[in-house]
Formats: sequence, C-alpha cells, structure tokens
Amino acid sequence: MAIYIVKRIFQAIIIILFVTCITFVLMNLIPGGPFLSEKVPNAEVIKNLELKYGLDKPVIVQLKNYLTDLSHGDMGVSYKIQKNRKVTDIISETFPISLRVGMIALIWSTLAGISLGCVSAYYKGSRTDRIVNFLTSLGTAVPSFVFATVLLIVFCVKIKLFPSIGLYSVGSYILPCFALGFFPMCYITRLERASMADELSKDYIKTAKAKGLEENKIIFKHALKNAIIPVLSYLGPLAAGILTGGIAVESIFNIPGLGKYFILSITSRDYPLIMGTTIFFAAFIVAMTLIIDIVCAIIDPRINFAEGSKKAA
Amino acid sequence: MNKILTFQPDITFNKEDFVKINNKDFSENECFEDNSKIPKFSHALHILFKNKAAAVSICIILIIALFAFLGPLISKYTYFEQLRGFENLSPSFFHPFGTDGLGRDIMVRAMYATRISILIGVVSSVIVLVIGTIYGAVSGYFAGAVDNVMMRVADLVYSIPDVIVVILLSIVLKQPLYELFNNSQSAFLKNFALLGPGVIAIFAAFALLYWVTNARIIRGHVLVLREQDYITAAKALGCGRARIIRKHIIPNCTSQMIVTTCLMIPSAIFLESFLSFLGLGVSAPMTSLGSMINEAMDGMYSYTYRLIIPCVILCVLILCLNVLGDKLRDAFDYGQKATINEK
Amino acid sequence: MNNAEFLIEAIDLSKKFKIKTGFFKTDYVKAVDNASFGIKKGKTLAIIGESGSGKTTLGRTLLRIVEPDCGKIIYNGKDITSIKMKPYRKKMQIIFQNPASALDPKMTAKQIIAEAIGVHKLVKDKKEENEKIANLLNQTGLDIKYAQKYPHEFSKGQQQRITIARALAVEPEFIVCDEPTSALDMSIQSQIINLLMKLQQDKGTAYMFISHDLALVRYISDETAVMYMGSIIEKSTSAEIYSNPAHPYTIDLLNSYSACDKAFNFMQFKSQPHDSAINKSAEQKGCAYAVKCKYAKDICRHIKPTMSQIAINHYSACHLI
Ligand SMILES: Nc1ncnc2c1ncn2[C@@H]1O[C@H](COP(=O)(O)OP(=O)(O)O)[C@@H](O)[C@H]1O
Ligand code: SF4
Ligand SMILES: [Mg+2]
Repeated sequence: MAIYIVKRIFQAIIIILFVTCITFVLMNLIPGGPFLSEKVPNAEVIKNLELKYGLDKPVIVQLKNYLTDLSHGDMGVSYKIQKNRKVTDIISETFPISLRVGMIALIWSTLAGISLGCVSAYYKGSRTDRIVNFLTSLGTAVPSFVFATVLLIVFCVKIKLFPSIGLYSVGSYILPCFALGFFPMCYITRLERASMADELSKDYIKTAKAKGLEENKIIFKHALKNAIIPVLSYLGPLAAGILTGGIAVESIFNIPGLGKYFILSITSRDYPLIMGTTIFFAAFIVAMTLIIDIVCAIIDPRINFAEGSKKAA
Repeated sequence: MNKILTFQPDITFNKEDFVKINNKDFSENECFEDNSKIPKFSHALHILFKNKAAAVSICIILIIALFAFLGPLISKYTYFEQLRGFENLSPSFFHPFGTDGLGRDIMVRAMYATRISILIGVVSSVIVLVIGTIYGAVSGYFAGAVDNVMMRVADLVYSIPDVIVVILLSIVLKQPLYELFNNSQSAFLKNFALLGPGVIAIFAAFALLYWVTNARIIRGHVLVLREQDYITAAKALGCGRARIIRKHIIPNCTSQMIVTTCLMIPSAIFLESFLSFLGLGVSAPMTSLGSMINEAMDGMYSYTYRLIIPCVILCVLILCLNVLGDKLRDAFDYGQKATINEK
Repeated sequence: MNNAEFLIEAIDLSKKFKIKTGFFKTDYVKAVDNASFGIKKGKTLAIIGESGSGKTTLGRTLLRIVEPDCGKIIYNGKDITSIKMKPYRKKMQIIFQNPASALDPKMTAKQIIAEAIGVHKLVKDKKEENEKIANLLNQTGLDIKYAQKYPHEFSKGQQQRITIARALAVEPEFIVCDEPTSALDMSIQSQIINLLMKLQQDKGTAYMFISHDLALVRYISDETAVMYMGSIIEKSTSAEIYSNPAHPYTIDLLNSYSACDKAFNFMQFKSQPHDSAINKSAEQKGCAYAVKCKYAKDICRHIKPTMSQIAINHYSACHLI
C-alpha cells in the first residue's frame, strides 16, 4: 500500500516534469518566436525584447532557467494579455473562480448521479428506469459546450431568466455549473445504475432480504457501499473532464476564470501565459487524479494496484 | 468398436487388434457433434441486430452518412461558394437551412461538416486501433519484463492530461504544418492543408495519447490467448514470434478490436468538435460540426437555428455511435459467454 | 544403456516454475526434476502419472517449447539444448490433449496444415501444396471436402485428426502425444489410437505417449516411465512394469486401477494438484512419495532415492530396492 502510494506520487512528479519540458520545448520550436505576429517593423526592437526575456539563449539553457524559476514559483510575466503582469498572479486571481464553478459542478453531478442511479437500479425495468436510462444516454451524447450554448439561448436569450455574462450574482452560477455538471451527471448515473443493479442481484442481498431485514436499510448499508466504488474511481477523470470542459463553458458564459484566460492566451500567442496555464492545468489534473486514486485504494482493497482508474469517455 | 477401450483388466488384447480395426473407414462413424453451432462472430452480430436500439442507431448512422457523403453530390452549391446578394437568407425551398453571413448555403456546409467530423472520427480511431493493437499484442505476447516496462509506459501516457496536450499540440503544429502544406506539391498534403493543422494535431494526439485504453484491452486478451495450445503448436512448428503475433494473435482479437474502435469513434468526434469550437481544430473555409457551432455563436441571438442544426447533428451522431458501441460490446460479451458455456 | 541407439534422449532435464504465493512472495514448483530417458527410433515411450505430475511440462521441455533450466537434450547424437531449433522443429512435433484449443479458430483446416508446410518451405508451388494437404487429410481419415471448414465446424475426433495431420505435415521422426485421447469419447479414442498406431507402422515415427490411462498405454507402448511429482520414479519395458512393478507408487497405482471398475477415472486417484505443488516446493529432501508410502522408513524422509537398475532394463528410484 505504502509502496503503491509512493510509486503513484513518483509517477505524478515524472508526468508533471515531462509535460513541463514538452510544453517548453514545443513552444520554443515554433518558428518565428512570440514577437513575430506583433507588428514590430524593427529588428532592433525584437532583439531588445528577446534580450529582455532571455530568448536569445539556447533552448536547453532557457529550459533550465525556466525550471529553476518554476521551482521558486515563478512562471515569468505575460507578454501581451496583461502586459508584464506575473503569470502566477493571473493564475492565482482567476483559478479560484474556475475552481468554485468546477467544485459546484463536481458535487452536484456526483450526488445527483448517484441518487438517480440508485433509484433507477432499484426500480429496474420500470418506467422511471426507462426514462432515466433514455435521458442519460441522451445526456452522454451532448458535449458540455453544446449544452452550455443551448442553456444560454433558452434561459438567457429567450426567457431572460438569468444574466448571461460574468459572475456577479448567485443566479449567474446556476447555468455554468449546470452545464458543466450535466454530462458527468449522466455518466455517473449510468455507472451507478449498472453497478447497483449488479450488486442488488447478488446473493447476499437476497439472503438479507430473506432474513427479513428492511429493504431500504440493506440497500444503503450494503449495496451502496460496494456499488459506489466504480463511481469513486471515475472521480479522477471526472475532475479532469470538468476542468477542461470549463475551458469552453467559461468562454461561452464569459466567466473570467482560468479557462477563459487559457483560450485568450492561445489566440493572442502569449507564450508565458500559455505555458503557465498548461503546466498549472496539467499539474492540477495529475494531482487530483493522484489524490482520488489513493483515496480509492484506501477505501477499496479490491482495486488493482497496477492499473489506474478508468479514463473518461 | 466401442467395446475395445472400455477397459477390463482381465481381457487380453494386443496391438494387432487395434491396427486391424483401422482398415474400416472410421470417418463415417463420426458425425458432426452439432452442425447448428453458429460461429462466434456472426452469433454476436445476430444478437446485435435483434436489439431494437442497436438497429435504430445503425439506421440513423446510415442516414447521417448518406446526408454527409451523398448530399454534396446532389446539391448544386459548395461549402465555400459565396453567393453575392444572398447573404443571411432564412430557410427556404432553395436553401433549406438558409445561407450564412457570407452567402454560403448552410445545408451544404452542414453536409461537409458532418463528413469531416465522421472522417476525423474514423481516421483517429483507426490510428488508435493500429497503434493500440500492436502495442497491446506485443506487450501481452512477450509478457514478463517486457510487458512490465511497456505497461508502465502506458500508465504514464495514460495519466498525461490529454485535452491540454491536444490544445498545446494544435497551437504548436499550426505554423510549421501550415508552411509545409502550402509549400508542398503533393495533392495529398494539399488536402490536409484544407483541413487545417488542427486536424493533424488531433491525429497526433490520438496517435500519442489515446491508444492506451485499446492497448490494455488487447493485452488482457492476448495474455489469455498466448496460453492457448494453438500458439504452442505454432511454436512447435517453428513459427517466429512476429509470425505468431501476426497470424494467430491479432486475428483472434478481432472482436475486441471492433468494439474498442466503435467506442473510440464517438470520443474522437467529441474531441474534434470541442477543439474546433475553441477555434483550434478544422480551419476555415473548410468546416466541421464544431467549427459550425463556433461560427454560429456570433449570430446566436438573431439566427438561433444556425446554432441548433450542427448541435443536433453532432448530438444525434454521438448518441447513435455510443449506443451502437455499447450494444456491440454487449453482443460480443454475450457471444463470448455463450461459447464459454458451451465448453 | 547404449546412447547411440536413441533417437532422442533427455539427460537430467529439470524445469522449475515461478509461482506467486503472495503479494511479494514467489515460490518455485519443480515441474520436472532430473528426468532422464531415451526413445528409440520407431518406438513408443509411455509416460504415466497423475494429473499435475509434470508430464506435459516434460514433453514440452523435450521439444524446447518450454526451455529447460538444466539438463541436456540429445537428438540423433547431437546436443540440441542450446542451439537454434528451427531445423529441428520439423523433426519433432506435438499433439495436444484438447484439440479444440490446439487449432486456431480463425483458420480453416487447410490453412492450418498449409502453415506447417509453409513455415518449412516443404513444397515448391501451390499445386504441390494442395496435393500434400489432400494426401495428409486422406492419411488421417478426413474427407478432402472438409478442407475449407473452420475448427468449430468439426467434431472433437475430427479436430484431433487435423492436429495429427498438421503434425505429420512436416514429416517428423518423433511426436509427443500429450494425452491425445483423454478429451474424446470412448469410441473415438480407439479410432485415434488406431490412427496413431497405423501411422507409426507406416512411417516409423517414434512417440512419447503421455497418458494417465494405464490400459491404453500397456498395449501401445514399448517402454513405460512412471512420473510422480516431477520425477521419473520407475522406468522399464511396458510388459515388465505391468507384470513386475517395483516402486511402491507404481504398485499402488496398478492396484487401485484394477480394483476400480472399468469406468476408472484417474482423477479419483490423484491428490489435489495444488497440494502437490505446495508439497513439492516445501519438501525439498527425501522421497516425494514418503507421505503416502506404506513402506516408508526414516531414510526415505531425509534422503532422496536415486534411480538404480533392478533388472535388465528396469530402473526404479526407491530405497526399498
Ligand atoms: N506455465 C506454468 N507456470 C507455473 N506453473 C506451471 C506451469 N505449467 C505447469 N505448471 C505446474 O507444473 C506442474 C506440472 O504440470 P503439468 O506438466 O501440466 O502436469 P501434467 O501434465 O502431468 O498434468 C503443476 O503443478 C503445474 O501447476
Ligand atoms: S523411497 Fe521410501 S517412501 Fe519413497 S517409495 Fe521407496 S519406500 Fe516409499
Ligand atoms: Mg497435462
């Protein structure tokens, strides 16, 4: 167990380092460099800019510098979007917003998914079950950005129930969180339904029923405990999915979160910001997956220590 | 003949007795155990077609495919042709979905978009299939230390945050690929230029990152296969490892390969539309479902239907592919269970 | 023993398997332990022993499908323990216990046999290949019209005929028959045995015939070796073994066999295979049969008996003798 945890942490560190290096090298391979797209007529000016940001040195030296800086928590400064502002400042300002929206989406989708899945499995074959089954298979086919767009049109444009831009009131959280959590909710419902139905058909449940234990108690005490494990191991990829889905949803609802800045930095080729956000995102996702996997391993001794958790669809 | 081997210790009989019987034509005595036994593969398909949801999905997929691949041949417009004076038309007989701000027929654009999305989905899945199958088969067949190392590498690749890397790749590859395509003479590469570098990034991402699930499934199956006697027989015949993997291992993984590929296509389409929506995938004037949604976002207040059309096609397509993949997996699982029970 | 007589000879062949007994612990099973024997041209050596005694492993080690840990394999006077096997693959073949799993389900009967021919490039062209396949099918009693069928379309007996045809395709001088009849119905068993015997008469092939069916082995083999927990514990001509068994295990085996009815099932006699695996690794010294042996003495539990000659061409490993 301890070995497993140490191994996983080690692996996570390797991945983050790997992604960092790859990101850095790839960014530096782009011909023309970051200032080419700007309308700088003068070669002298470019030269000065490159000197200023240390871009005249060989890539490997730059990488070394970047890694040293990174270990001190320094990701450089933004070239364009918020000129000369520290990347870390931008991240620490915008990430909490993304995190808040993401957490709300994560929590509601998990809770709703598990409850719906249980109900559906309990009444397997009934009309409720069929409706849930149909809606969730529909839901797993709708990308979160499509769902967000539809919500935006229906509730902000046509009905005008919620504000469509920014995060200024509690009401404005509802749509983005709903859109972000909808796909995972459907997916979790299907997972939970399958594993719960499987669990309920097992002999020990039948024995318990025959013994006259109250049915609801059985379900909550025994079956749910086992049936929830697939959902738990899905949480890692789920967190990653919500975070990346957030990139699109934030752009649609105009939320000033990190996802929106990520897209902005890409479209305006703000390299330090791209790199900073990429590395940050990657590290966050890897860390989340790591934590959830370890928690799962502690909770469930049956988890195969060699394999990771299941990848999101 | 039956009597001979029902052994009774005190009856004496000798080698000659055995041989004498041989002169008869024994093959006629044997009958087929069960002629009606359906082979596993068509058995699975049989189950699949009996399922209503699967049958409906297949029909809808076919209709969408016809729309995407035959539609543009019938229509008299093209996806890039800008009709002057016909901008922003509402749906009419000549333009069933209307025209966009540049005077392009939206229906034809939707056909092309669907075609591109399907193609990208299929091509990516085939890439994944090839890489995943080879990797999984080699890892599973060699087992032991080789397997261990290969699976640790797979674990590593598996935990790389995929969407982030795809986005990164699409930014990075944009410039060099753009130049490569535009400077090259070959028609093949020119066609890629039409799709834009984002698509190459998607293919690259699938080739680099998404094979892991496939490889794991294949490896698991190969670990079972390699213990089969026919592999031992092939070794005893002097077949090399490469030949065994090629001729015996991979052909016996077909059902796993079909199922994983079917499940991979919708997720590839999903990813492509996500990237194109962010403006990183297919680039103008060529279009895909994701980039159509992206384009329609600007006018979503006044021309909502332009947004709805690609959204609906995308969702229905993914839905049907998901259902088909799931049912296919069930069918093969069932087929496998059935054959195991037979034994 | 005159070594030069033997077509194939094993000298002190051993094979250990790693087994995982816990999360970190690994243990070893001695599947084959110091086995020595030889088979003459055109003759049959029968290996008998209970399930899990290492017969299959011994057969496969001899063909180097499983690489031996130590010991030597001599083929026609040449040591083939660590040379390239490819040229020898066509001289030695194997027939399996379960024909259903011995045939690739994705290949037709014809493709299966053609692969054997193709790997060793035994024919010049397609026409010759077709002739050869037809000939092989004919020899093994299969109709040529079945050539395009897949294994699952055949009955068990026919499947076994295909594996035999595949083995014969390379014209081997030696075939390991690993319980070729134990998965078949009684009536079909005799047909397959007849076929194998006829082929031996026609072609002079040597067999290593693995079986747990004593009655069968008695009449088809020239020599018999008895295996117990990986070691060969008695070895002699078949007639001698049945009339004059020397080792207590062989005696028990024969007694229990004749005591039982005709529907004797060897499974009844065998100890739990898993037990034996554990015994084998734990009990390194002494006679493996000491736990059950009626005649076990103190020495039996401490010193492993070695093979010794007790009569002309009769060897046994027991302290009693
Ligand atoms: N590949 C293997 N890995 C580990 N143990 C094995 C392997 N093959 C055989 N064994 C073990 O070796 C012993 C002998 O097996 P086997 O040769 O199949 O016996 P038999 O053919 O007489 O029934 C058994 O205890 C079995 O568990
Ligand atoms: S050596 Fe001893 S224990 Fe082993 S068979 Fe002979 S008498 Fe029995
Ligand atoms: Mg065996």
